[in-house]
Amino acid sequence: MPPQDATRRAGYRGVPHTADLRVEAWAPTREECLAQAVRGVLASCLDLTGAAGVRRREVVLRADTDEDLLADLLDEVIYWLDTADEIPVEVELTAVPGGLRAGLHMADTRSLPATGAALKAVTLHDLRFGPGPDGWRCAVTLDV
Amino acid sequence: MDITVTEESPFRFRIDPRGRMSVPGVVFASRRLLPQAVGDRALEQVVNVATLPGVVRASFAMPDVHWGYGFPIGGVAATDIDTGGVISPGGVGFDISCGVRLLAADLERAELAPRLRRLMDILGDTIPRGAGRGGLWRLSGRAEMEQLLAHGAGYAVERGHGTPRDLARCEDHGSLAGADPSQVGQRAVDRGLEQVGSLGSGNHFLEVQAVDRVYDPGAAAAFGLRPGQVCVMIHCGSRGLGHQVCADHVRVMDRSPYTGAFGLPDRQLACAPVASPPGRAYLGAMAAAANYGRANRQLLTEAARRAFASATRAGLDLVYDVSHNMAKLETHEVEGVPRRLCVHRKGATLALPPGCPDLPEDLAEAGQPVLVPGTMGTASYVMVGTPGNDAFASACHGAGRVWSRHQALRQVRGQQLREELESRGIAVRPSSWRGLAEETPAAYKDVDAVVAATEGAGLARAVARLVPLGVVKG
Repeated sequence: MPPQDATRRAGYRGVPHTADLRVEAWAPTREECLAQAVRGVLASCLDLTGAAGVRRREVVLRADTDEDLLADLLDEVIYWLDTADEIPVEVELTAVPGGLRAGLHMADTRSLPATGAALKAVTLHDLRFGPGPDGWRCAVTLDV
Repeated sequence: MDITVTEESPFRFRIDPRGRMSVPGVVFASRRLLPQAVGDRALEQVVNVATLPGVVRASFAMPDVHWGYGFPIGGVAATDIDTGGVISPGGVGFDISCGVRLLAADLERAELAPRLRRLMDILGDTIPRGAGRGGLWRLSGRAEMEQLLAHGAGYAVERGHGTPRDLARCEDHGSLAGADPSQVGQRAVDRGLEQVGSLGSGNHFLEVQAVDRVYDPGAAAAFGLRPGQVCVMIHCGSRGLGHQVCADHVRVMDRSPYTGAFGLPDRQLACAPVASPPGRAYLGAMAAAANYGRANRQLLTEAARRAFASATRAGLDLVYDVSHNMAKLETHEVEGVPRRLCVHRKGATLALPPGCPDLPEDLAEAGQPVLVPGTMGTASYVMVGTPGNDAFASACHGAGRVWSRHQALRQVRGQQLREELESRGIAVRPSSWRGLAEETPAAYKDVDAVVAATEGAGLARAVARLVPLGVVKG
């Protein structure tokens, strides 16, 4: 069931987990769904209002499954957050053989208010991602 | 999953083996503390851990157990190294060597009272916390990082960040043997270079506390604790470096034919035999990350000492430093035979009994201090290891969550919580209102009940109860 508003075609929501963070996202396409997941994960820990991209990074992610692509993309987000105080406010994803090319429009986090526990890592616990009758859906648990 | 637990004694419950479980589950708890009582799914994870290759005796859960990923938080499991037993990075967790350090001040609670606000302001301003970069010690590059990964708190002390006596009061003297920095990937090093000496966030904290009650004066005296004394408790781990080490090695094991052939019930339980190249690689990287965690707490100790010197002129002596997310190679008797085991403690603390040769000389008679952080509004405990602990000398590591972060946010506002704590004389320096609300004391089990169950189950004995005076929240 599409959460909250059945008319919304793309979005995300947090799902309760005792100590960590679980995020579900959905969208008509695989790439949009991944972008929603990134947004949902970042919105759990930072107030993204007013965040603007100031530089662009490009990475190519390769993985055997869509679930692993989701985990790799979120790993990439956490890496830049930890090492450069940057987050992607816009994510452009293009399918390439065996994976994805990700164009990440990065904003500085130092001016963004923290709104929740910082992200530590992406777990493989109950990692889900795939197409369904209403488009693509994913669910991921992160250690925070 | 429908799980039946059978009460074996007032603080010990058993889950009989079924399906692919090769050992039973054993949950140390009172009836009220059982995770099922509050709708938590941790017992499913206790069952899953009981299916790991080579697991011996039981899949144990401590009284503070709650739902995690892969292993439950508060889970203990040992595998037999010589019969193909595995190491699972998920049985250690992402925050490798997350742990607790307790420092005792030569200062009474009443003496601190007029200076508490100033002390908390200094600590709030100088203790790095939150996401991203920002640590007290910026390493020059990979070469220096490798020194720190090899020698842990020992390297920090060698570079002037503490005293040799500090190391005598750290588990493993502040440096876990077997560290192999070459197994720590560059991304992990990148994440760690600018985070040495930082709390992180979530449930991490630095608290100024006072000894509220002493239950065992002999052990308390050996630990350097007395009623009314001011203490500092630091809870944090190995930051981004440890998280990346776990992520990298879980991926390798998840993709290996070994894990694929075994058909684990949870991908986060990905594992490899201890005596295999991926198993050895992870253990070397894990020990290196554990050493980062110990050095991290050593740097935060130095900052706490500076703050105390400035605000109170009091010194801080290390009581003990314990890790509660670790795997260690230990020898235990299993069915009457000494076996070499890989003991996973995820959200569980080693609790060595009196007389254990691994203890520092001045603690040999008393036993190992077991540090149990509670919540910022209730209490924390110092316990001590006891003989006859069949969970491979393990005890609880905290109060244990019962509410999800969602539920905490629905029930509590950060500003209100701060006002309430301040009205009770507890000074709070939060890093965000939402982060503070997520850690509301109501989100946790009753730490007094957890400690009573730990004692009742024969895992450890209470030595002292500590109450919070001031909290710097990560």
